[in-house]
Parts: sequence; C-alpha cells; structure tokens
Amino acid sequence: MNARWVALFSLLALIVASFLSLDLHWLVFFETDSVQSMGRFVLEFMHPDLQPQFVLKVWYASLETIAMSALSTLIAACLGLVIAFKASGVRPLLNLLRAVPELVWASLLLIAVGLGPFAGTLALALHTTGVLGRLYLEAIENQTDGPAFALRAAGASSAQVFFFAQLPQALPQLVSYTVYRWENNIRAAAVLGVVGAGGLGQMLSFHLGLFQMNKAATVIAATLILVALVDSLSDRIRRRLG
Amino acid sequence: MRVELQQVSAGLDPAQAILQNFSLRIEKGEHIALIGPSGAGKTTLLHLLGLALAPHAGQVLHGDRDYWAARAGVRHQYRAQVMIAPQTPPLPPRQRVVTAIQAARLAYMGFWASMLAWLAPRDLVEVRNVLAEFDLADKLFERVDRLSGGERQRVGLARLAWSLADLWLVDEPLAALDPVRARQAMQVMTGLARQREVTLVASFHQVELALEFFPRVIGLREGKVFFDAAPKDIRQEDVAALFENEKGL
Amino acid sequence: MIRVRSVDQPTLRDPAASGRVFFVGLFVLAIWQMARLTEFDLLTLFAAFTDPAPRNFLLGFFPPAHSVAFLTLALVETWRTVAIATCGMFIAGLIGLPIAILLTRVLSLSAIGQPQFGGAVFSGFLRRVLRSLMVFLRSVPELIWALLLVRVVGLGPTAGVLAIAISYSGMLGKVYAEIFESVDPLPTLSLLNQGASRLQAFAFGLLPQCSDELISYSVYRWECAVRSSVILGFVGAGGLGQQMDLSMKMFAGDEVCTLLILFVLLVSFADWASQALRKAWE
Repeated sequence: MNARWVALFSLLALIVASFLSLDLHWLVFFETDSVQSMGRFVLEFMHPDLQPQFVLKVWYASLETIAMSALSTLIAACLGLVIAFKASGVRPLLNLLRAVPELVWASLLLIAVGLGPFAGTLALALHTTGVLGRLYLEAIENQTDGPAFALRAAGASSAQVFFFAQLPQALPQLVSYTVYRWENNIRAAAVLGVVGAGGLGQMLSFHLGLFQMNKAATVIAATLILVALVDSLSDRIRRRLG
Repeated sequence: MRVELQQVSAGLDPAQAILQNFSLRIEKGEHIALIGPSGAGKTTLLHLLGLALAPHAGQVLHGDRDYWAARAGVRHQYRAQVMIAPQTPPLPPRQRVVTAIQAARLAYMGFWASMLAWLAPRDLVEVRNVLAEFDLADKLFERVDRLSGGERQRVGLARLAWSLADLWLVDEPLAALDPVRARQAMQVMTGLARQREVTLVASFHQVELALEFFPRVIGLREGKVFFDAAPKDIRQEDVAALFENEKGL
Repeated sequence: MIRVRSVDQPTLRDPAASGRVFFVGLFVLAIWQMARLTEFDLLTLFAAFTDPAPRNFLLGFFPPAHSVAFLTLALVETWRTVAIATCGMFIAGLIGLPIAILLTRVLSLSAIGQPQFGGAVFSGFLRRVLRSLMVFLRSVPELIWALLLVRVVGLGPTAGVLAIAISYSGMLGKVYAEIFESVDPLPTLSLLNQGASRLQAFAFGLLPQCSDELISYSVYRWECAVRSSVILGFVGAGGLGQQMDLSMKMFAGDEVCTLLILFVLLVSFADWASQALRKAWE
C-alpha cells in the first residue's frame, strides 16, 4: 500500500514539475494570426498537389525510401546471421547499436558520407543489425540440439553445422523477425530524410520549410500509402510462414 | 579399424557416471547389438564410441589411437570416419530429404562445395537408390516434416547408408517401425554393413530381431556388461534377468 | 519431376533447382537496383575515415566534453526531454482515456435492455469515426507531426509536447479500449442496471479491475515517449535531441559524445523508473 502512494505521489510530482519547467506556448493557439495561418495550412492540406511532374518526383522518392528500408534490412539480416554464427562476446556491441536511435545514427553518418539516402541506409542497417543480431542469436540458442549434434558428430565444420542444421530449423522464426523489422524500417526510412538522409522525408522537410502545404500533403499521403503497403505485404509473408 | 574402451568412466552428468570402469573390445567389421533396460547406458556407450562424449576416466581407442588426447582439429577430422544415427532422426523439419541425406557427407566437402551442393544437389540417382533400399524412392524431394514418423526413421537410416564412415553407431533404429518394416530395415542395414565391411554397433528394444540378425549381443544393465555372447549362447532366463524390474519400477 | 534421359543413363532433375536459380537471379537484380537507388557506395564510406572533416569529428569524441558549463547545459536539456515526454504523455492520456471510455461498448447505455434504434446506430457510427481518427493519429509518424507543429507554434518544447500528445493519444486510446474490453463486464453492467451513470460504472466497476494493466502500459509508453522526444529534438522540438543536432552541426565531437552518453543513461534510467513504478503498483 505504501509503495503505491509513493509511486503515485512521485508520478504527480513529475507531471507538475514537467509542466512548470517548460515554457509552453499555449496561447499560440489563440492568437489570431496563428489561427489564421493554421486555417490556411489546413485548407492547403486538403488540396494535395497532384500535378504529374510533382507526382513523379514523389514516386521517385518513394522508390528511394523503399530501397533504403529493404536494403538496410537485408544488410542487417546478413550481418545478423554472421553474428548468430560467431555468437560470443558480441552482445555489448549489439546493445550499443540498438540503443542509439536510427535518427541519431543517420545524423552521425551524414557527417561521414554526406547528404542523401546512403547515410540513411547505413544508419538503418547499423541499428537493425543490433536488433536482429540479438533476436537471431536468441532464436538459434533456443533451438533443440538434435540435428546440429548429429552433424557435428559426423565431422561437419561449424559453418556447415550452422547452414545445414541450425539455420534451417530457425529459418521461419528469423524470417518473421526480419519482415517485422522491415515494417519498422519503412517508417524509419520515410522520416530519416528530415535530417537529410534522402527519400520522402527529405522532400517533406524541404516543402514544409517553404510552407508549401499542398506539396507536403502529397508527400505525407505517399508515406502513409507506402507504410500501408509494406505492412500488408509483411503480414502476408508472415502468415504464409506460420 | 578396431575400437577399444579401456576402463572408461563416462556419463552425461559428470557427477553420476553411468558407465564405470567399463571395458570393451570391438574388432573391425564386427556387428554388435546392444540390448538392455532404459538408462542402462546404451546411448552413452554409443556416444562414447562415436567420439561425441569424452570419458571422465579411461581411454577410448580407435585403431590404438586415443583421439581425446589429440588436438581438437585432428579429432574432428577423424569424426568423418564415424557416424552416429541418433534415436530421434536428426532431420531439420523444413529440409528436404535429398539435402538431409547428403548432409551425411558434409565432412568430405569443403564449405563452398557444400553450399553449391545445397543449391544444386548432385548424385541424385545414387541418393534415390539408397532411399529405394528403404522403400522411400518417391520421397526424394519431399520435405522432412511431411513424412510420417516411420518414414523419417527410415530416412535416418538411409542417411547412415549414404555416409562414408566405416563405423556405424545406431541408437534404436526400429522404434517407429511396424514389424514388417522393422525386419526389412534390419535386413538392409546389416546387409549394407556387411557389403561395405563397416563395423556396426546398434542398440535395440526388439530383442528377438537383435538375436536373429547379430552374431554378437551385449546386454547392458546399470552401466555394466550383463552378458556378451553369441545369440546361441544366450538363454531366455538371461534375457529375462537383464530386463528384470524394468516394468513396474 | 523425374526425367529419364535414356535407359542406361538415367538422370534426375531437382524440381526446386530452376526455381532457386530464378530467385537468386531476381535477388541479385533487386540488390543491384536498390544499391543504385540508395547511392550505395562503399568507397565513400571508406573515404570517411580519411577525409579531414569527418575524421576529426570522430577523433574529437574522446575525451567527451566535461566542462561544468556544458555538463550543466546538457543535464538541463536532459531534464527538459523528460519533461516534454511527461507533458506529452499526460495530455495524450487526457485525450485517449475519454475516447477509450466512449469506445467501450460495455458502458454504452444503448446496450442495456432493448437498444433503441436511433441510439444504437448513432453510437455505432460514433465508434467507427473515433476508431478511424485514432488510427490516423497513430499512423502518421511523430516526427512528421513535430515537423508540422514546429511550423505552427515555432521551435521549442511546445511542438514536441504536442507531437507526442497527438500521436500517443491514438495509441493510448486504442490500447485502453482493448484493455477495457478485455475486462469482466459483469460488475460494470450490474452497476449500470442499478442506475449508476456511465462514469460511476466506469470508476467503480471497470477501472478497479484493470488499473494495474493501464498503469503498466502507460508507463511503458512513457519510456517510449522519452526516446521519441530525443528524436523529435532533431527537428527543433527542444531537449537533448536539439542539442545533439546543434553540436553535430558544429562538428563538436566531444559534445556529441557526452550527449550520447547522457542519452544512454537517460534511457536506462527511464527503464529502471518504469520497472520500479510498475512493481510499486502491484
């Protein structure tokens, strides 16, 4: 009982302290010009720019975004397999890769390789390797021993045991994890662009900066469609496996 | 080559060695059947002979060589000469029969050769012939998890037949087979072993079949040799005494 | 498919072989195209280790910035990140909870006895609208909300708080509703039958049964919000993220390193706090 009150009290204290310490501009919503400009934005938003030239640009950015998400997931899957095979002393590195958010990786990599989707792809690949590496490791560790034991006893090398016994057994689980991460990565790829890593995000940031709400609306719509497509595709793949 | 166990103590749990001070001598090309109640140490013995389990004490000699004293690499290379067929067929569920069988020769293939063999399996006719011995020719490209228990067990034996080892250690190969299939499998297995002059050690629950097909039968009980003789020298009472108290423990 | 070439030299064909070759080819083609689209170039990556600007940035990481002035600034920003997440979650809860209550069929007055024609249809319609609204709020990535809001309310924590509030309200609303639906409806229904108001039935019948789950999920989401608010900082929504962005733009590797360390510590702390809170509540 006591613990509950302490918890409740600290929670309330946290909430109050948070509101007090930030200078939040509530009044912004009630000032006339901001209400007017918000109204204008909303209106522009309702009329997305659908001119063929622009839609083509959005289409190309979508391809770039999907390529970023798919390639990075594939790279992470390959590295994840290598990690699952090596298996020892690699967990701290994986935790580091996972802990740093994709966007932070992207910002760091931008400094290294410059603006564009390459930085985004690498950032996603690094972060996803951390996630998939750990999932793959656990999936393979949790397996039953039988086939691996038999192949090992028959003189197969560790790599052969991995490919002919451990991997085939764990494969449905690994594919499921990978496809699930792809769902996450398509969302991440779409927004990484706001820091300059290419794709739809970069377009969105650009047009919002110019207050071109109608163009931004098209980009956002394309993002939502892309995410929905990948979600449904990944759903179907996972259902076929299970 | 000859295999010898000299005063070996072994067991999966280091604290409780099932086999203690155990000695055994097997000549090249011998066929030996192991019978005995559960927990007697049959599987432990097979794993010992197969270099899959290290002894706590004593020596395991293959051709007068103790591979546990050798470097790991040398020992592992020798494992290619020995094949253990475990009780539960060690077949990954989603793998196809053709790949599962060809995996028996992995030790003889380099890594990239084995990858290529997975992509484009070769020697398909020969593999099918081996399967045909066990009446499974039509299952060549089938997935393991689409086979029945009995079929999987026969695939396990076909895998054994495909291997190039000259020491076969087989753990309960007839458990999932009906009497007709069991007899068939026994005939094929012992026939092939004789043909290739392979040393064969197999454990069974089916005592009659063991006595019928094997010239030397060892009865194991609580980690000790209860009897070690030719079938004609083994009496009904000996077998009964071997399994005494097994049911109703 | 078994194909016999001739009587004395039979050969077998692996039925999966052509399919495999086809997929390998397709795969290679896809990778090649994707590498092109993403401007994948390993040479550029290796150049990063030799070019002076990125190299100095990386080398500048050690030792991490530890001047009192900077550390104070960094700690203040860390607190602000927590504050943004907390305010955002609080507002999200304020929005999500009522919506979840509205969505819960158990509390629907029209469900008692014979549902009136108009009542049932209207409340069903309202429910669908609310659900779609929440799906929309959830699907748009927070970062996009933040981008939009920064244009409207300017740089700073307000945009971050609102972005979190909007997108998390969708999540909370949905999950709260699911939690409410999963609870045993009997106590609630009996209270309604006695004539209690919907809110009374909620507070005395439904809430006590699932308060643990609600708290548990909300605290877990708060942890996510802390991480989100760092990310939102990169588009100007205040806190640790904004500072990280600034330091990176100034190529101050040592500052970035300190901020990253603080970030990892913050996330660990949030994880600990959420575990502690959830345990204390049981």
